[in-house]
Amino acid sequence: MNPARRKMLKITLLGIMVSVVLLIIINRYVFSWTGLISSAVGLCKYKSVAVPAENGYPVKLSQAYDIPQIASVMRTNRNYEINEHYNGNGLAVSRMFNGVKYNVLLYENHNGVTEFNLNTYNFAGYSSGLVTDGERCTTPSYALERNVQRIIDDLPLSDLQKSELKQNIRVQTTIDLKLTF
Amino acid sequence: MTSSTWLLDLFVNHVWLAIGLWAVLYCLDFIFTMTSARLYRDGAGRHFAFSEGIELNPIFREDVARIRLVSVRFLLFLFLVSALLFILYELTIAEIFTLVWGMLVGSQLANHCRHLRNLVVFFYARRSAGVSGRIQYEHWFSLRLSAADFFCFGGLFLILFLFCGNLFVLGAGLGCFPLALRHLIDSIRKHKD
Repeated sequence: MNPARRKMLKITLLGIMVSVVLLIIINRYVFSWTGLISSAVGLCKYKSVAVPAENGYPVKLSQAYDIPQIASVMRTNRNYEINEHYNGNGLAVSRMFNGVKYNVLLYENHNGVTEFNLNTYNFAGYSSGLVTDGERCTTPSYALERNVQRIIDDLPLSDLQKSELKQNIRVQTTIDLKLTF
Repeated sequence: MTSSTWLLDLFVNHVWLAIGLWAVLYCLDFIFTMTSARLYRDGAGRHFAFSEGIELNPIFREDVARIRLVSVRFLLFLFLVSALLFILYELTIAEIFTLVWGMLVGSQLANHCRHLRNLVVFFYARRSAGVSGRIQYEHWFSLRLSAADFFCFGGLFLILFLFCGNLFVLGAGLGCFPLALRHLIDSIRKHKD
């Protein structure tokens, strides 16, 4: 291969690599083009937040959390709606971000271990009339993670506790498949 | 009780671990291939002759024939597939990510089994230990043997999937079949020529 052609090939490859990196950054932080594609092919109904457990189950936390104290402090903050969860053993801290309700759920199981969950349910009903909804598919994942992180930062917790909760934030896509057999 | 899929959950929930594992397997694939090429050059070639070299993938044939320590093609593939995995993770549909990751890791695991076997054969053949005489492999025959191996691995993974119903194992099975088919088609074409 002659030097001029080799140089052109190198520039092309570098261009491809830079473009891929830019596309990934845009997708994560600015505009989710993967969400646009997946919604176009029926693979995305809405985006929501969850914890790394299957079927909407909560995750067990390793540290102790004083749920009544969290509830009493958060009730003084007007940005939040505080509800009891599971017959008074738990707490749902909710906040609206651009019409989407983010819920952070903490509750103590029968072994005394605190469990943690996340969702975007709105029992008052979304504009679609449904309880289950979330962000548009094109919303970048980072925006959803940041909203939950803001809620966690406002909770009266130690840095270690906040860090544990933040490690369990996951963005998930609800699939909209209409299969007819 | 710990979940039976805790290891899979660990990788699926930590994208960098998942990409890292695939990258390590891919790099090992390159290292094993180059080590085989070196053993072949240093004496194993006295017993085994491959008409078009030991590499079956035409994209890397030149790099392997020259035993290059650094291959631009290899680095490009490493980067592009890692990026593809990250983009799939960003789709935030865990099932799709698990399936594709299974395809990539499963086909690499099958590949490594073949590599390890070849390394053992070449290691002894280099010193003529336990091996005598000379076998000439035509390229179409090497491709056909590889196709048979990948069909076997694909079938094995699919049977395992029927037992455990895990998307990762299904992906591993589905990942082996395209490789097997490609080698089979290349083998038929080569045999006709």
